[in-house]
Amino acid sequence: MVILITSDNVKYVVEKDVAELSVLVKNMLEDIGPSDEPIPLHNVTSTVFNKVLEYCIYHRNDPPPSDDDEGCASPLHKYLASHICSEWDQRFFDVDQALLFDIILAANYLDIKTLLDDACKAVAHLIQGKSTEEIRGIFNIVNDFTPEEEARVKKENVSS
Amino acid sequence: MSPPDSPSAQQEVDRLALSLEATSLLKQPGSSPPEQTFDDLPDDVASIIFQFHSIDLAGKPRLLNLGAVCRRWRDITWATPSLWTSLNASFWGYKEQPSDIQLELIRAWLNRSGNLPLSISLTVYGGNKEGVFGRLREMVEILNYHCDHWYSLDLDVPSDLITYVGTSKCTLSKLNELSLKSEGGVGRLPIMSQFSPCVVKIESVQWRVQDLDWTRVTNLVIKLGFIAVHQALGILRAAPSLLNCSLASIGHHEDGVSSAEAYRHVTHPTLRALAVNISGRYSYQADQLFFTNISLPALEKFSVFGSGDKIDAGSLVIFLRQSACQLKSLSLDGSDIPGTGLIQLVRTVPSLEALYITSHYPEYGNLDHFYYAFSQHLL
Repeated sequence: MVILITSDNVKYVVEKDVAELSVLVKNMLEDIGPSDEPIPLHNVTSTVFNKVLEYCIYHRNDPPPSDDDEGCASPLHKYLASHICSEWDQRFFDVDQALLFDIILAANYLDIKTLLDDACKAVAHLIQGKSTEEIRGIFNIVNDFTPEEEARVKKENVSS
Repeated sequence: MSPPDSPSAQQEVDRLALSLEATSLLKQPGSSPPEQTFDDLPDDVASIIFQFHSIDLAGKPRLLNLGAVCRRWRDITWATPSLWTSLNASFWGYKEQPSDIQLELIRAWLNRSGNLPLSISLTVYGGNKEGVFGRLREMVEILNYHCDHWYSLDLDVPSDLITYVGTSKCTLSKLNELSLKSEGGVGRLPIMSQFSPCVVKIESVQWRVQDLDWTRVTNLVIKLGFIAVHQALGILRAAPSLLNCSLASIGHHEDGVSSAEAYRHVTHPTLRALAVNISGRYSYQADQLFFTNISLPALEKFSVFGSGDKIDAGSLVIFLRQSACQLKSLSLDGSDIPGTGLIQLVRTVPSLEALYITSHYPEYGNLDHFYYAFSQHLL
């Protein structure tokens, strides 16, 4: 078992194979060697870590992600296209936007590639088929183009 | 890949979640951190989201839409090469020439892909009108500029335009899939001998064996009104990695190439599936010339389309005997082999598991003998 402590000082006792889905934790465990020392997770709160842990427990027996993209467009596309979330994943990511971004940041910090990819895919799904204006509305993004830039952008989009 | 949603997996999550509650020392959380927004995501993470958006198979992703949201999104989108590796363009021939801004967009699009392999699909509808392809030709030149990075090239363009595809400047070919189709007449395959794709599909395009490096080709489809027997044999010689091959239509002129070298026997060690269409107009014993000069020991699936002409059963028997293959599937479509010939043919391949027969002109061949032999298990 591995002891992890989140940024709000909540202590978790987690099975090693689950904890090691995080490359960050795995590397830290290798660095400190056999020890009961708790591992601090500075950038993750317990609220978010509960979700991360739920994902890791469910996916603990998944085969490791394929690593055959090697920068090639088509193999990468094949990998991305095949990376379809299951129903369980879809339910898991059916959360409010703020928590979804928290999960992404946690996955990025903890270096859990599959969680990061799946969460990013959930965000990509939010903008599927949406217009520029709709995307700005979904994420509260301010249009910071100058009128000249805006005109050029519109011209590009009309021509495409 | 995610595991299937099974009760046991969910039960394990619930069990471990309960166990987690028991083992974690819950404390009252302090002041809540501010809510995260998209703006809080690092650029590399935003880039991953855009990559998933770009290959969203359910919708029509528009990369330029992403770049129109705000400056940051534009900067990230423009700086993510993998977003720009797939280009699909279509034009209505001489009626719709690409505009200056479209050419500039295509140039910028491909430049943004950096050194990544490119998948390009270009369709130009409409017939040939000489001299009106100025801008389309300019576009092909833009594609040619990136020829070192072609991974998949799928062109369906008028015959005049197809000759401009490819360039001798290509030094480092990554081309894996090549599909060329000529509209409005038969085009001419440009010299692409420095390209060695694995998957090739050529339709209505004249070609010579020396125009392409066939050594890596595993899957080949050629559709052309007339493929001379010596060309078909030449392809089999030039493509030693072939696994699947479809050639339509093989024919032979009476005054065709007569050199014995051109019809030298070919043994292809890897070809597993062969489909050939024997041309009705130019058959002139094309079936005998082709089938008696090839041996395919790895053949498992064989289809012959006869275009309404009788196919010489004797040639097929010779071919299958000299191949000594473990054929599993034989399809005879419109080849109108008489019943006695069929019996002989099927007896040659005892490994056969499936036989498909389509007779376009039943009066040509009486299959009664075959059906009788079949019903009596005499085959």
